[in-house]
Amino acid sequence: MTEPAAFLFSLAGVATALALVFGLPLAWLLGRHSFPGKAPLQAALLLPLVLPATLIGYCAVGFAGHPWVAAALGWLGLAPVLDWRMAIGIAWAGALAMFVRSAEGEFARVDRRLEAAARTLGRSEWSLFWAVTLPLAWRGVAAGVALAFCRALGEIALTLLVARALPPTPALSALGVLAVGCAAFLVLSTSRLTRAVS
Amino acid sequence: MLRVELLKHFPGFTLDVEWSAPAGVVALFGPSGAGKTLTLECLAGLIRPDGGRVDLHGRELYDSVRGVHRPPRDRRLGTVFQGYALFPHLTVEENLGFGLDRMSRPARRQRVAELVERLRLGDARRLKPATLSGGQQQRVALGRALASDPELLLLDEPLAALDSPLRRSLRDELAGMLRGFGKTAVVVTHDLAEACQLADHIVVYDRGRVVQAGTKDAVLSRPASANVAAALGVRNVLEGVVLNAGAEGIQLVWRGYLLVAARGPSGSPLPTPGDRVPFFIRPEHVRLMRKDRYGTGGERQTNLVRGTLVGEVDMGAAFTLRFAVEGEGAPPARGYDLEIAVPKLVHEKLCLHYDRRWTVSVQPSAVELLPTA
Repeated sequence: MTEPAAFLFSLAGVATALALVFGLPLAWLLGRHSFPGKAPLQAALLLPLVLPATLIGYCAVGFAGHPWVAAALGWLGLAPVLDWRMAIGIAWAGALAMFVRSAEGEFARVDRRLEAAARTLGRSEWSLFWAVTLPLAWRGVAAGVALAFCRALGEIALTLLVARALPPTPALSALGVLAVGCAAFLVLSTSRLTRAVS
Repeated sequence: MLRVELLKHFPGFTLDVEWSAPAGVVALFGPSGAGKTLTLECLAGLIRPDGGRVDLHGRELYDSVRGVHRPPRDRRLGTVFQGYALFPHLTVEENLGFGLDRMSRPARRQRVAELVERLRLGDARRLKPATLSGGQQQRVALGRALASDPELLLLDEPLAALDSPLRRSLRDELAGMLRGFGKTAVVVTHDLAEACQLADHIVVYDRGRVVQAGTKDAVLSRPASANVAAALGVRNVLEGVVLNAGAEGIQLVWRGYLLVAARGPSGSPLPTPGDRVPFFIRPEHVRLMRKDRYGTGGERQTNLVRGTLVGEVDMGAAFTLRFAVEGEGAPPARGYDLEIAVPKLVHEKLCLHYDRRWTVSVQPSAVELLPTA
């Protein structure tokens, strides 16, 4: 870790790449289809954007430091401390949210008749995604990647900072568990809200 | 031969149609919301019907009983979408070659070059669709659909997006290309003139059902019912009471006038005296009797009706006159009984602006009876 900036950038790059891999099918799914559970999924994706990154850092440290959670993580073979892998995980959630928000709308705007035209011209669903849907939605995808990277960078820096400064204490653990509980409640209530609105 | 039998339920709408057509151009004609485009989407395989079957020259595209539902890519068809749906991010050449991805690269290049040549798109071949004229866009859409040499061509309102002068010239062009295609083509349209020019066969749709199907001439000259006549936009659909019916003609009473019709309704038995029967008279078949000649020649003095002109609509080259009949019974709520089409020149010559009271006559052959149900 002689070059912290390079380290940060490469972590953010990995998080962004992972966000792209998971986010592309997710954005396509959310933008082009409706299915049961879509609203809670969208709300859950939104959480890392709504909550301040510092809070997420705190929560992660606290949550991972709670004795029960730590025991569970230990049982799964994971270290109950925040190292760079966890930082990537947290950054990934934020980057994924950013990416999906940006790409989803662009996928939704692609004219369905163009896809129908591709189908009648003999293309499979896989082929028409790469030949029609993605090229037409590329602006949203590109913007999503840029936003995701920025978000990942900020989040990793903060997470690592917080992790160094705050060794897990019982008070912090309680805060972390509380925050995770609040987040779960938020997801459920927003999804009910969006259902009520739509 | 294309045989179509489709059943598809939606909340508030059911498509239930059955028709067949020989090779050639078939027009699906009817008002919007009648199920024409839905039929096309079922033929293309983009929507799966709830029941029925589709059979093209003995090849099964869909059969609900046997569970056959070929995906669009296995149906060997070309589709021209409403508004064309050209790929905006691809050039003319790439659009034309889009359906040829299973061909080898040189074969594809050759086929695209052929199409560019045939469709006169040489200057435009590297342009994106947004920069093309309406005519070029139509040619690209047709070329793209025809590129893989389909067995069936589907066209959804191919001219709907265009304004009227362009529409006319593109209609001529499209008619020429469809004649050259030589296989089965299905054209969806709500424009009767378009259906007449493009198609050999017409299938008339109304509210999810087929109300008449047959050759163009049969459908146009002899609508199967008052419903079809209304769907075809036939004017002057009236109702009279039969006085006498025989091989030499049918006598009707309408608004106190005696009208003679030359023949009975197509495909139905002659009506019996006392029946109420719908009939129609085309606006262009109603003749104004010139007052200076009235009473001299005897041959036109059948089916005379007196009345007053109560309005006119300027149609450009002609006027549509609204004629309220003086006779028994009340006139319709719209305030007139007949629409009469006269060329502008005749309108001027007869001073129709000032002279409003007229006697009109209709040839017995122009009084067309419709079947009752």
